[in-house]
Amino acid sequence: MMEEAFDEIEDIHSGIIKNPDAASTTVSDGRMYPPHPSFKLRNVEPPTYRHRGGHKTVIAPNGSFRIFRIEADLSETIIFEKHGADGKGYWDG
Amino acid sequence: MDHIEEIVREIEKRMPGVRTRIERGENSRGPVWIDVTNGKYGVAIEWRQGMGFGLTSLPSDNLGEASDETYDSASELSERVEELLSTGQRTSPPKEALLKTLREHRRVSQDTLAQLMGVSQPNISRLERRIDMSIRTLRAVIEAIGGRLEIVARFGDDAVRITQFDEPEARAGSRKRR
Repeated sequence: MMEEAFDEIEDIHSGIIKNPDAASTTVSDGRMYPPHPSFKLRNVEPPTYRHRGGHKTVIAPNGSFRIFRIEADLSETIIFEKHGADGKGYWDG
Repeated sequence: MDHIEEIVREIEKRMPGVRTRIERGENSRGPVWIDVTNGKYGVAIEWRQGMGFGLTSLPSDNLGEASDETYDSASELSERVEELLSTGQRTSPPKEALLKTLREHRRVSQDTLAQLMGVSQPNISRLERRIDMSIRTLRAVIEAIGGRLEIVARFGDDAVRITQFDEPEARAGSRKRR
């Protein structure tokens, strides 16, 4: 569901065609991609994925997720969040 | 101490007072991320086996799948990190471009490029319209406009830089660095 949400947003707003091999490229194409299994952090719960560069996505079992931007001082700012199918975010406890 | 910790140590030695954070991916071949900040400016470094180091200034608006800049060696990387953190410069993402666009972006005229390569201006004009050329020629063009050519092969999620066609000196440097 989250991958579909990412793709839908980017199909509408970026105008950049999705590259299925984007995770292995060394050149940014300017399109936002959903979290990639290769970028899952070790021993971090709930599951957390780095985007290459300065963002992270945290995904909860109920499907809720948050995208964080890593700031210059390494603090993290929420830039997007979506509740799960049960209407809750993992952050709701 | 693994090579990631060695790099962190090198960065901390170059820039006393910086704060670093290591985050590792599940796969032992990478990626591994090293975030570095001096409080005012920050960078994210990404390492993956066979792909070298990616470097992106923080915060980044880019949610794409690649770092802004790439480096083969830890020393080049550390030098650039020091430059970014001490000056507040930001990393610059590479873009896809035709040779003509790339030359123009570098503000090099066809005449100047022709002189640098020891060929005529019409030769450069023809070269920029070609759909195929030797690696040697392509390298000469890229180096004449101030760049460095790298060839990367992709196999699914893996990407490997091909060093076979590097100049002997670069090849030796690449071996030394790994």
